[in-house]
Amino acid sequence: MKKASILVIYSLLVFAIVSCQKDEPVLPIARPPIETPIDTIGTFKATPYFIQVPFSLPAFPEQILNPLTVEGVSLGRKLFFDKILSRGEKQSCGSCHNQLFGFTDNGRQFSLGGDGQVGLRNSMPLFNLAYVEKFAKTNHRFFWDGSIPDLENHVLAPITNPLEMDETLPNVINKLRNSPIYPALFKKAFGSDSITTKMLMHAIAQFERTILSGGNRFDYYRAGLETLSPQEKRGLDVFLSEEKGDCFHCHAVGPLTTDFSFRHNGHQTPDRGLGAITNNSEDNGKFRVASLSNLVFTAPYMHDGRLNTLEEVVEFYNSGAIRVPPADPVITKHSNGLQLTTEEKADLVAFLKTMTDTALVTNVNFKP
Amino acid sequence: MKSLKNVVIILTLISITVGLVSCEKIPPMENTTIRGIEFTSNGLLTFSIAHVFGNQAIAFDTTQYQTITDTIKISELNYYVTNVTLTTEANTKVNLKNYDLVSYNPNQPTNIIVSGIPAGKYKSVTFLVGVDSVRNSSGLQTGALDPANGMFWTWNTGYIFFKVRGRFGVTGSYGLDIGGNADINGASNAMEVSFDLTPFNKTGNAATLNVVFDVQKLFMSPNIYNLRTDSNQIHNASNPFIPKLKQNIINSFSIQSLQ
Repeated sequence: MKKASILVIYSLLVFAIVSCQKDEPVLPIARPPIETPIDTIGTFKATPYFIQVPFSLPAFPEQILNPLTVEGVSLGRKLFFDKILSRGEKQSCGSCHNQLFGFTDNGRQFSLGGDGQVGLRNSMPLFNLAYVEKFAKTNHRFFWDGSIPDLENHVLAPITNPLEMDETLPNVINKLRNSPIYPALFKKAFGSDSITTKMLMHAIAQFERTILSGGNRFDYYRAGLETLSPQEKRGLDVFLSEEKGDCFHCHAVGPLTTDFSFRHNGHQTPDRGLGAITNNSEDNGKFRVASLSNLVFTAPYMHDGRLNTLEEVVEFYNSGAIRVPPADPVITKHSNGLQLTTEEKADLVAFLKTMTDTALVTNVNFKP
Repeated sequence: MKSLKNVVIILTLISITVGLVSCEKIPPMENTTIRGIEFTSNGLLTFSIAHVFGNQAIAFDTTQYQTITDTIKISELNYYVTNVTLTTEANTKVNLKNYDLVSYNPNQPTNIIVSGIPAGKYKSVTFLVGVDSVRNSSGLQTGALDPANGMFWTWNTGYIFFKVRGRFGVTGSYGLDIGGNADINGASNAMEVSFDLTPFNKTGNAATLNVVFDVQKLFMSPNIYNLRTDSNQIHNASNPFIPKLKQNIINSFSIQSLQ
């Protein structure tokens, strides 16, 4: 009786939190201004940004050296969607990270640069990135190859990559300084209108840290607030079975569905991935273990976008992966493949689709 | 009596002799030889660096220079000078934590100034051509360490410590960038240059070290660097030719005089 009432209260609480998230726009709550510790700004203070974290996600990791501020996030959002960051003003970050596709590139296998240059890897989804910084065990965190340790630094590569926005940092800073709007916005966010590379990196990183995704059907199911269909439940069983799907070793069951490691999943690729960064041949062919949330928006799949559908992904792990080293031990131990039945494969796909958060693609705070 | 007199005379002579000998053994007054730099207070040290090829000053793009293996032109020469560290006579190290970027310009003198050096006698000085591992991996720097200075690999966070670019032979171009954390052997790619100051004497609160950076040595000494058979484009930390090039870069710095 007591247990039941506690459960009811708990459910009501969770519901209250969830309803808040779904219905109310994110508004800054009045809190005392905080210092933004960018160099040379001294005592400048900006408005703290109150981030609403979906109930299923772990505590939000605050970045002491770049705290979220209303002005900083707003500036970062404007920069993210502004073509001023590219050579010839042809592309913004948002061009290849479209919210409607879970911040990936409109279903493309490889993104195109401003002059049609073809990229080398599939555009990565952008959500829950703050947790990569929180949970990754090494400094290899961002991009498919783990080349970059933090969100501030990851801003520079796409801007300067000749296959992407192909602009130089001095040009970007000059354009921003000569813009009629940006000096005032940087001053609001960081206390100075002499724009620096560091401020640019801080602002965009702040916006990207606010892109959170949680509260999908599987999250509610784990909280006891949602039921799965019989097929989805069978798919979950395949996911969790060491003899069948064996997915959970790398895609940990939880809100983030990745162990943040880099692994070789049994593909054949000339791309060295993490190995090119560590220069350790044992790391060749290893890539980020991706989150399984929001897959319905982010096709195609894998580091090189080689698989177009979730059915192809499941079939790859079922029968396509190469089961000898350098593939990961979790792949090689299934030496005869997973041998899933047609029904089990369909069940698994149905289960994967329960991890879909439509708020990610509709949230007005993530729009230009 | 006579014998007593003799004893006295002998004793006197011995005393005088001992006295004289002892006099000779008195150590010389301190400070008569400084052997190094003595900063009296809040010292200021200037590195005045001349960039040459053999005995010629370097001009960009137009002038050809002859290495053992190639004819080269130079169009860009940049490097970091950081962590200037002085060592006292008592082997205490004083790191001045400076971060300076040398962008060689043939029309301007290259001076790096470090200040706030505590009073004391210093016998040697070192600096890093490069960025220490703490700053190198924490990224996000301003001033000389702003990534917009072009001395930063944006695709793999880390500074370019040393960069020399130009043309060789009839149509070749070279770009030798050394940076990142470690080379293929796991050794740091930041290069420590060390100067012995004991051949010099200087007292005061300001001193200037006249340093030479000789690009001829960069291609010849102690290792011959052949742009056609060794790598003429180095753009990541693990290029196999980096270890031998690092030896040459360190050897390219020499100290000429102390003023």
